[in-house]
Amino acid sequence: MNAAATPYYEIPNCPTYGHVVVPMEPLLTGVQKKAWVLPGDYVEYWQPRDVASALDVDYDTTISRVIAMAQEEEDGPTLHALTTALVLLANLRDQIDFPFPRATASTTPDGGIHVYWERPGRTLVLAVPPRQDAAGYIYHEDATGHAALRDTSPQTLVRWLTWFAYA
Amino acid sequence: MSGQPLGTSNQSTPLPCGTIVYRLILRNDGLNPETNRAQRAAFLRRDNEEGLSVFLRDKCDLHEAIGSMKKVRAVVTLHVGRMYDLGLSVVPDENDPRHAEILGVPLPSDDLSTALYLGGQLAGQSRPVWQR
Repeated sequence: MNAAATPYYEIPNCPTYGHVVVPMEPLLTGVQKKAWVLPGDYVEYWQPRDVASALDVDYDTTISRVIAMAQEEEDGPTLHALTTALVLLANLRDQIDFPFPRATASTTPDGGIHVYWERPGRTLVLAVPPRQDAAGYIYHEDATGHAALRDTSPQTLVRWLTWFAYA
Repeated sequence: MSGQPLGTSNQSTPLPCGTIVYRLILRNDGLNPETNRAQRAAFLRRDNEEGLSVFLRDKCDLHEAIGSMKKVRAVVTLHVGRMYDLGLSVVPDENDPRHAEILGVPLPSDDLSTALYLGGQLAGQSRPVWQR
């Protein structure tokens, strides 16, 4: 079985909307049977060498935290927020040339997702909207001030994560 | 945590600066898993809330506060005077002497930047007193 034939993986036990199927290709690295499982017939896709060369604990932890919110029994994120957050984070990881900083996450009251990167004196938040017709934002904060940008494009995300990482 | 429905909280005299209040954290993601301290998500207002709901430590036993909600993940304390320094107000609820509202935190949908900033400030000021 090759990568082209197995483009999805499944996140089990999401009470609000059952199991979630997410495009696999951008999420391959760092995933190692932790917060989710792969459908059985995709097992041979996961050769040890595939994962070992790209294991990224901090990225994996971040993704696990996002997925864990969908597995809460009450007030989880919408499916749109979940899949958008996973894809944004995966693409972000692919585009940076420094270690992915570990983040925490929360569900917002309206079903969106906030991903928080925090260190003393500097904060970055990716605000993923609950619906397709709502806007996403990047919030940044340091000693000079704070602002929310209505832009979650890959270029902007990379720029602000670089700002955060090189504080 | 559920606050009062719009229009029902008291707009009367703010509480004295020295007052300590309890804020209940109901969800796992209200706590930072790295530090086990409150994170700003615990201080974001819901659309049906006028303010952030808190209990007065002098008027409400900790376990009484915990028992007031079905599922509580953690409880933190906040110092009212320090919230005034942020430009917020804290007013008693005339319908429940144990209860008060933190007013002045915007809805994330109205002003995300200020909501997240104030949430971060409140999280930073909070002190954990109980966790499940």
